[in-house]
Amino acid sequence: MKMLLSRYRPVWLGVLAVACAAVISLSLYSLYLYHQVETRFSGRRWSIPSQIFSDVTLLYPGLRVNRSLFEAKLLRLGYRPVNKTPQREGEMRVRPGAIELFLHHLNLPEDDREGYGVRLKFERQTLTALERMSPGPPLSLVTLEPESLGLFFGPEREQRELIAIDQLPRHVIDAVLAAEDSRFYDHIGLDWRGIVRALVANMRFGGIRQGGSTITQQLAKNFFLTPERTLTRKLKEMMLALVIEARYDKATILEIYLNEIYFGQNGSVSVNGIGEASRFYFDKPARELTVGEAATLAGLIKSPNTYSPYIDPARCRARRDTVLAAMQQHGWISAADEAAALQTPVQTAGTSVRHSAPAYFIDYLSGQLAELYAPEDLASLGLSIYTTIDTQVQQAAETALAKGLARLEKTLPAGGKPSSAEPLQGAIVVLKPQTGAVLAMVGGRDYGLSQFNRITQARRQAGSTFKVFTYLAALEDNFTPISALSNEPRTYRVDGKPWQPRNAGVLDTPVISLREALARSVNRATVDLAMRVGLDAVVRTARQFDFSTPLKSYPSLALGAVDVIPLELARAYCVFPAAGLLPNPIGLRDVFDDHQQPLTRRHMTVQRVVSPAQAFLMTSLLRSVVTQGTARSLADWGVRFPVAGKTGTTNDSRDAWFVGYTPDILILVWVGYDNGASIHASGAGAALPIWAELARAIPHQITGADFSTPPGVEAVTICARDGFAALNGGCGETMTEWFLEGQVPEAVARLKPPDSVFQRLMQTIKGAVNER
Amino acid sequence: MSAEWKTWIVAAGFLLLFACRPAVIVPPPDTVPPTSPERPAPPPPVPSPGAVEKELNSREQVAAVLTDQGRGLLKAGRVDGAIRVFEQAVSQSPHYGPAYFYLAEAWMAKNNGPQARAFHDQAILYLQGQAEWASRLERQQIEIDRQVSGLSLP
Repeated sequence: MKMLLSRYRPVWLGVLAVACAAVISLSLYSLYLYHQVETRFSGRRWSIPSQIFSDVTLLYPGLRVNRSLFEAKLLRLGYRPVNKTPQREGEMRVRPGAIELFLHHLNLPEDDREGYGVRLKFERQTLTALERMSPGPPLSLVTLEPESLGLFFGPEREQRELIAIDQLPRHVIDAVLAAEDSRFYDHIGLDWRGIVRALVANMRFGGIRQGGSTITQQLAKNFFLTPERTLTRKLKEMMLALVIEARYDKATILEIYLNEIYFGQNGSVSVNGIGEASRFYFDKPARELTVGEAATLAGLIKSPNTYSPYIDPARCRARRDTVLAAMQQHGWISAADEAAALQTPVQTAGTSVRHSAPAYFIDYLSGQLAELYAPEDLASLGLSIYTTIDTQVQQAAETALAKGLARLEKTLPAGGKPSSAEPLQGAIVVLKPQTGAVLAMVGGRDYGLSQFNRITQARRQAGSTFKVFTYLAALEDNFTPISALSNEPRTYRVDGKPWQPRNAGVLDTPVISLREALARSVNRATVDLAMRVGLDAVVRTARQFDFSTPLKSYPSLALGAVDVIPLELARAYCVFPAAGLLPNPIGLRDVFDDHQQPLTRRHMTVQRVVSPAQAFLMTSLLRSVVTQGTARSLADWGVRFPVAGKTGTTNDSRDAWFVGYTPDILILVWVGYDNGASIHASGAGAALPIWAELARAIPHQITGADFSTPPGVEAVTICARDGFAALNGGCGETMTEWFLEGQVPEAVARLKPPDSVFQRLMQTIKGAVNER
Repeated sequence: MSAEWKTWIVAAGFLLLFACRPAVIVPPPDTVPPTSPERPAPPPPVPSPGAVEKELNSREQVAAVLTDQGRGLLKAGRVDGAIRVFEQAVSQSPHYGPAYFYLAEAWMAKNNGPQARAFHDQAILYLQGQAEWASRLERQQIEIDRQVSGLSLP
């Protein structure tokens, strides 16, 4: 024996050396893999796209709502209609006089609450009461969660909602284990039974047909390896599985797996993880999945696009039934549960719950975000980006524009359409005047056809909408609404050439009041006013509104022969309903990281441009545009609440505008062709009907209240016919005219009637006493 | 009725007529009557004024609830959160003065005097005539002035 050992000593030593080298190499390689696993799993495990959200929606008794827009919103928020009283988060029952909702859990930095049942009672369009469906304190205000508007993807275009394993019902985990690795809790990363079974199968078919992979191996493959099927890769996978099992407990491995695994495609975006899959296929959070739904998702893992209920419902159901049978076989569900689940069809959410995002707004937002974050961070850090968008207003704006443009196209004369195939375009922006919040933005007719944002990027001639700055400059120069302006034809010299402004319609009166000149958008009178005030003063006034486009002091400036960016024009008009404050438009509100910690917060900021009294007087003048001037057809379009605004039409009807506001909201509508062709319609004919349709559709944003009167203005009753102070019996028809305090013309002031007969009597007596 | 009483009644009647006498109209030099054949139309009727009033009240109540929430956040030192809630209050009820008052307070806490002043001015506008706010507005004005002047020091 000894001889034998000594004879083969070199061989043994060689074998030992090789074995030692192998063990050392294997140990070093294991250490390397351990380090790789540690680095990959302890850091950020996934690229999670940042998500953009709308504003929250506040509900309270007294609020008027558009039921159809509101119900559509609830569906987008993931509330599922049921035929019984809602008992689980996300369920709703819609009835004629009420909507019952089991609210989702709300998790916002300033508002964190659990979901609960609430009944919203309606009388026609008015929300009359909020009632809890279970005992609790009375409700005066309910906050609906923000709506997802879209995601910032990286090149891999993955969508994922992370789920903690303790949030998942047991049957979801069991379904996945039944489908993929029923001995998960018994092996150490490799399942020898599975490997032997796979080897036998592969030998029978002469190639690799079965992988025999455990969940841990699948995880190793997904995170660290390429998808090709080779023996080397398989060995690597096995070693990685062992390392992962050595390093992490079963719950952690399963949690990573459930968040990582691929569940199919939503268009160009891949659906990853059980949380996102649950949303995509069943439109509910994973914690609410039923046994049948859990089995369906578990069945998908094997081959998501083969077993997808959206692609092949029958095959999907058969696969689900297999998983259910396996669950029952392992004793994880009862036979009764299995039977009940088998009888239920696979009911998916349908792809309709995925709606198109407000693409123009998101482009506008991206521009702002690009100044704050790198694109790769937006695509991977899972930020929550909260915006000011009101999705009901956005939807109403998109509908109103589409309908309005289609209607207009039908009325265009055959020869009036431009020679190119370019479609008629339009754009809308809706702002909250006091805060500058952008509630809706539609930058064009079809984002798919043209991504040019006509609200933020276009420079279009403002036309008569720009006249307000001439009139404002005049008010600052002691003109009053009853100041006389000349309507006579007059020739001005511009750059040495003669220029004669013309009126749009026939108006043969030689003089006209300032109020009426603006109401009827009279060009000659406006230029007369601008020349009397001084063109430099008009430019100075307009510059206070922060237009970024150049403003030159030509007489035609008074008529709006100046290019403006529509968003800047809308912003400028905000000053009038906002009591003289110019807001900075904000679309982006907050950015939070994936732990809901604030990264960026943007607040409303304002600057004073005119006094509240001047702002009110301008509103009063612009009310006349709507009640008696170029926008009086607004009433014909069903707008019965107080609105102030201005129409605008540029040369050859290239641009049609209407900028209108209530005390609550401001809407700008522009219609035109990108190439500047004529639309053969005025602002009142093309833009105003779109404005009206939109305004009527959003009662939750428009109270219908009148504009309030600030201090610093004075109401004087004057004769409607001759414009001077009305006295009892002194003139037939009277009207109220507004003046800035201290600017009531002397003749009117002198004749201003005292407030009452008693006061007059007292004055007379006082006068008599004084005379004595 | 005695002749003396009759005299008094006639005198009182004359006095009354005198008090209500039509004034002499002198056309001002720079004014002109509206010449449009269309008489100025009254504003379009607001649908159901009662409903509008009710909704305005509801909105004001909501603004009050939100302003209270914002005050809580402000007290807790969460200034940005407070501003966000005050902005919601303003959105719901643009003329709700207390929301502007506390916006001014919050911006002072952020050492931004000009913004504080802008919101303070709005608070004055909407809280005018409310005695309980007068002294607080006055105090706020002084603090803003102090902050702004402090900021402008070299």
